[in-house]
Amino acid sequence: MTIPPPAPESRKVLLAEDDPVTARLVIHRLSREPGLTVLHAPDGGTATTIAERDDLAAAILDIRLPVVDGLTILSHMRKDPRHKKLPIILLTSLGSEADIVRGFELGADDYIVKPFSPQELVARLQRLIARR
Amino acid sequence: MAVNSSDRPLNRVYMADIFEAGGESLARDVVATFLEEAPGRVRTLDEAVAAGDWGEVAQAAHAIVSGASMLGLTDVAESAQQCEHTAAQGRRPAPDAVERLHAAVTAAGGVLEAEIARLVAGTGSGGGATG
Repeated sequence: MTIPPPAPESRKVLLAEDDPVTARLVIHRLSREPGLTVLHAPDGGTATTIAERDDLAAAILDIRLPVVDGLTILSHMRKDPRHKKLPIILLTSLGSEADIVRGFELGADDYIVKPFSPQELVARLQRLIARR
Repeated sequence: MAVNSSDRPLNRVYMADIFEAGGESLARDVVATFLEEAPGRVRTLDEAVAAGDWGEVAQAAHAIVSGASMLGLTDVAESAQQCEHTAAQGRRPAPDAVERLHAAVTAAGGVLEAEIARLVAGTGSGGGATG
């Protein structure tokens, strides 16, 4: 009798994105990645709660979010020992170079500018998770 | 979003990618989501313009830009971005930018429905222009 290998542990990815179209497209693409579970936060307050509550494999943070912005969440996450080395990608808009620079200063690993290909976003995310 | 005249009113690359990733159901899902959200956000923008609340104008316009750009709605994204940038500088958006945004959002449903029909019929291969 062959014993099946244990199911891979589900890795949680925080997606902080208030735009429902962008969120739907990213969730659709991430749901095709085996072993990844998306925790979607439509505002910065919810994202902060999830970041404090859950053990995460990665985070995708829109910079412009209601309640708490993505850079503030990033800053808080990097102060949490659990999230010090967590792969974090920022979502930003064209012409937001100052935000991108600030994001790197706060410890972001990568960024992607809207509009983007969800496929490219997930490829970048998987590369960061694999390097962790 | 890089815009040139051939992208108006829709840069077809984005809907083609969505269709390829999730077929007609995903395309209809995200289009319905945008069409449900956008008019309310334009109303919020109008009310904020009337109240002179430039921070709220910038926020409402930014919310429109995100979804519109992910769908390739060039006219919507560009006019909303123009409103956002002006409001973020503490100034009233130009009336013609607001009017253009209204017109583009009103037209978006028809533009997107036509694109989905084209993709379903198998005549879409991404790229190129419409309108």
